[in-house]
Amino acid sequence: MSFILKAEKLSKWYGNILGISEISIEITPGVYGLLGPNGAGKSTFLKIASGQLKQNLGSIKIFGEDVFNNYKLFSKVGFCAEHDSYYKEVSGWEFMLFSVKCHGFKGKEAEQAAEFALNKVGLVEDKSKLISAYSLGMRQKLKLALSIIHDPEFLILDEPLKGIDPIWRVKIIEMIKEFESRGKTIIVSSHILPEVEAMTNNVILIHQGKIFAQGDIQEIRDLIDSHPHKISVKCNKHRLIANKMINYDFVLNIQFKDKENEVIINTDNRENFFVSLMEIVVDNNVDVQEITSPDDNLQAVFDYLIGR
Amino acid sequence: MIFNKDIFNIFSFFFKTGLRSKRTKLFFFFSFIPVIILIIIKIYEILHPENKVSTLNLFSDIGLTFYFQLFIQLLSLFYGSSVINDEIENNTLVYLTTSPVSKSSILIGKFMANFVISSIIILVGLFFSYLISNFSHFFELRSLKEIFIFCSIGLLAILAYFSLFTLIGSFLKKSVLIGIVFIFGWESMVQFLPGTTQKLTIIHFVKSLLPTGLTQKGGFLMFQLKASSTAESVITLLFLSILFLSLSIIIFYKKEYILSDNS
Repeated sequence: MSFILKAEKLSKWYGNILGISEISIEITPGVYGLLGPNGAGKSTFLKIASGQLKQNLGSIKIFGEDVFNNYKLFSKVGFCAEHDSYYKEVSGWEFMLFSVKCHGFKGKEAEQAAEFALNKVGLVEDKSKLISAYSLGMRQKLKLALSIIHDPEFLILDEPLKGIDPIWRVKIIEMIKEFESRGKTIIVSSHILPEVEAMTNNVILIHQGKIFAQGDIQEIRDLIDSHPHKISVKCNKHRLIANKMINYDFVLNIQFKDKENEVIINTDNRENFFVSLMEIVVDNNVDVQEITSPDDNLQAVFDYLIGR
Repeated sequence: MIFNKDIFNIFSFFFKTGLRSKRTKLFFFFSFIPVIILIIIKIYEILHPENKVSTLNLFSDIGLTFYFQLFIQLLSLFYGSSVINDEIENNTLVYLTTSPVSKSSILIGKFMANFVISSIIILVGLFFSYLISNFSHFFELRSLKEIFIFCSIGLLAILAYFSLFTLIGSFLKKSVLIGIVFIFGWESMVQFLPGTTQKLTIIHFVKSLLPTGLTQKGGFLMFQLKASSTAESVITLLFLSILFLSLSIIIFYKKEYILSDNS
């Protein structure tokens, strides 16, 4: 079977600091979510995959070819970098035209490709503005447009939804799915689970530079749902909620912050917890100010999975 | 053919953006400082013909010293070192290296763009300085020949310094600091040393090309100079330019540039 990307025992250090360690991955067409907390090694892996960095050990091949210094490969690969960088004295349109010409497009064909990509991310109306006048979200969209301008076979997206408004998040997720439906390959990195969940079921969990788990997102979701969760409820009857909740076996312990009218409940079954909470709130006419889950993030999941 | 098209694309993008940059505007302003001084003196010369002030002499004292001893070096330093360094500092290198364009095309294209901008800045200033100094007989063949020679030497000097600072910028982060040490330290100091040590500087070969007979007042420009021949100077400057540019391409190709925000 021919893989779009194949990495074998890929390792990278920055001096004494470990970037990634012995990562082996085989990727076939489809969408893959590269998940991990900040500093896990996602960007390092993607930078090696996009030829910006050279691995210290191991090998990586895209379409069967080495990546570093293989510039011809980028006629088939698109890359959206994580960092917010841009040329200050250039408009979005000029930058797009420059990039599309780098991909060998000329004249009208170049203009059409640039227009099409800008349209995909909703930047056509702002194309004449200087990039320095763009908002963070607009610059992020521009980077996305640049990565798809040549309709690549393989798209590498490093935190593509950072700074983008909720409406366009949905549209970009749809765009990624549409790419997949055309038989293309996409790797998307994120540290926000629901983002990746909306795009794909295939996830690769990366933690401390190593691949921690790989597979269906549902299995990860189950792990998350079964691990103890802290849920904070701020309301006018926080002690009443605690009193009712203590009777359930999925409640592990309860803490109070009376000054803030807050109760913090530890549960190992989020689904049942929220059903019960809603019943209590409705039955007792509780005025809820805020419900938050302080550790509903990937770092907490990883901490739980590695048994900290 | 594709190689040339890529270079042209990179060149035209960076040429356009370079012309608009604040740095270019600032350097254009600085390049006109001698022109402004010469205009003021010229007006004074016209209004007070009894005073023995000659803009022709001042051209070599002010104009040539400013351009050939200071401005060409500084301009080459800021534009040459920025060919690669700007892309690293601004994290924009990724846009170039993830496009299907070879690294040599990227470097040559951007080198050419910055070189042309620097040359325009220098040559325009040099031209106007000479025009004001030789206003009455500018269109004489001798004057035209002379300005052509100055401009050619200027271009050769920019090329040599530019290539050197591109090389330094391709592998050192603090290239501007090192460049300043080179210009004001090494190149200035070695000029005062006798013997062949002077040949370890670029300025020696540039000064060797400048016409010495233009004015006797331009003597300090030639301090301790044991000039090399024109042929030797031209060949050396061209050789150094090609060498430094080739090394820059090799380093840019081989080196792994680690941009910030690694995780």
